[in-house]
Amino acid sequence: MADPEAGRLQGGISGKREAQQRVEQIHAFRRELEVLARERLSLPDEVRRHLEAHHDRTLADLARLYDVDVNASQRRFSLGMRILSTLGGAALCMALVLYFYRVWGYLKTPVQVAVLVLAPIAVLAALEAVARRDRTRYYTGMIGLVALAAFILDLNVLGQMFNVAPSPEALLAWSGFALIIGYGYNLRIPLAAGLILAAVWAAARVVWLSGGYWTSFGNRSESFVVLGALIAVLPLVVPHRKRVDFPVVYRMVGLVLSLGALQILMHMRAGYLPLPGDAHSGLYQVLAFGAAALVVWLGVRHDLREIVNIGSGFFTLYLFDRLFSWWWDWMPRYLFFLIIGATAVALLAVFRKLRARKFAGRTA
Amino acid sequence: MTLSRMVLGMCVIALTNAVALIGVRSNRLGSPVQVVEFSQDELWMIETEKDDSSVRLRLNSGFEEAPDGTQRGFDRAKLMEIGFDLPPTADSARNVSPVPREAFIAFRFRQAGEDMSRSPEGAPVAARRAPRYAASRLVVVDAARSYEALRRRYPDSQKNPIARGVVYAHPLRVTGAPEAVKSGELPWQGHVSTLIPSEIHVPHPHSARLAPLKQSSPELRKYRVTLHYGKRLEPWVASVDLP
Repeated sequence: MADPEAGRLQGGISGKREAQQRVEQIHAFRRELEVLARERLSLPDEVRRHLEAHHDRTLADLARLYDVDVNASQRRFSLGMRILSTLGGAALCMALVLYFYRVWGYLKTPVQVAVLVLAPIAVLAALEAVARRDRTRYYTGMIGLVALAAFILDLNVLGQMFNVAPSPEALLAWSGFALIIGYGYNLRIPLAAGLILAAVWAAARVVWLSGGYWTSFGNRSESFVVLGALIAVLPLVVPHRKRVDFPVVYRMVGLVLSLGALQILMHMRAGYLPLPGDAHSGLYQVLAFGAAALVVWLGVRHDLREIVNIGSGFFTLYLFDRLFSWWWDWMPRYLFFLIIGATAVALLAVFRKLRARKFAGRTA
Repeated sequence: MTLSRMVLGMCVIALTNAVALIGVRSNRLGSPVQVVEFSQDELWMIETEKDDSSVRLRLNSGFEEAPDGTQRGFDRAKLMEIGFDLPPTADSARNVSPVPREAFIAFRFRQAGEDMSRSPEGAPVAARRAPRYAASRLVVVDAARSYEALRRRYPDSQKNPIARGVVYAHPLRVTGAPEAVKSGELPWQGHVSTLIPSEIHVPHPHSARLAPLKQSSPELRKYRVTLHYGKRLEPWVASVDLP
């Protein structure tokens, strides 16, 4: 993906995300120079002119090579285009599925099979053709989603057509395909889908190994706690030097799976662990709060904003969940909401303190 | 790299489809393990969205009914035979929730003159099931972990079809609250949550004959469908007869 010309740029930029960071850095530098000028501190004219010219060239190069947003207006457009491409991809997937269901009753079996098998192959070929021309990656992302939907539709309908007993291995095939699209075309949504499908496949296999029917993986959410944690730490073992924005997807998918499963387990009175009902749910309540707090601490320590947000979001969810189940039935409503409000204020104070400590650590 | 990603993706598509189609072929190779004819009462036509042109059917079956009209289900001994690991009773305080298991399910057809308003013991049965559900002649009689073991018990595949299904175990809720229920000790019962596959697709040209019936109300539909079951007990529609 990287253009040889990109090597001219200083700072070892290897992807769009890093390029965008460099743009933000340049803008921040310019804003700071303006503030300093108002405070009667400025660089010599010649140095300032050199710097401005160099930054202008750098911005132009970054815009040309990585299609980054070089001003606020472009940034707003980009966000809109990203949302549009995701919604467009989802709408095209729906159109594909619904159209097939509309016509498949009129097709003979060999034609149905041919359409089902050839559709994802054709969309994949279209994806390749578009990816070679599409610098913005919006169309690539959209068609990547359609390719994944076409392959899911393919196996799903093929199974229905021949009354095949559902198998968890379909999840593995979909996961592999989604990961190929994600890594091959540098797309984050297929990557996330591939990781989730792989986790569901592994959880289904664990249930199957324990003697249960594979679709019962939802009855035993413990697997997702472990699998989510493994997915979250995977980028530490497998570094992504060329795809610097992929580790964040691993962390987010892994943590949401893991902490989401703990939210379910807090309410379950039975599972893989041979514990009486109250001890079972009690254990997972302690684990859930501990895990969310650990995630926040790790996020603050390693300066990973998305991790802090996920950890604090789940911590708050667990807290409200517990307060609701303990007090809602017997406590006067005004008192319940008063306690919720007071808890939110207390949490804000804790987060402010954490934030201040982090700032002090940086400036020290 | 740029081309290999596409080739790799295509290989996954081709390989997966090949495995699925080879599985279908191997299921249908040779003569079917059982051939069963069902009427519209056992094999319901699934109501599809107006944008769905397919015709799909679903097997409708039930258990023998207890005098209070509830479905009898499997008892603890049968559930243990299927592979469930259950304590003698379900303690309501512990909320043990066993994971559903796959099993082979044997059915029998109710005879034409069989009095469905009475339980096998002859007690009058309170009508609990909707008439459409109760119309099915297909009754679950047994379950086992292997097809061969079940077929040995029920050798006549015409009278006793066998299908794959998912069995779930739950504490029995008994009306009338006997002592066991009051103390929180509940007997176990098992039911079939779904058959595998849960739906049977009707291929062309059979679908063209059944499709017009989608417009009529379910009570007015009349048809007979013969299913062939292959080695993996995956069925397919062999013929459709309309009166």
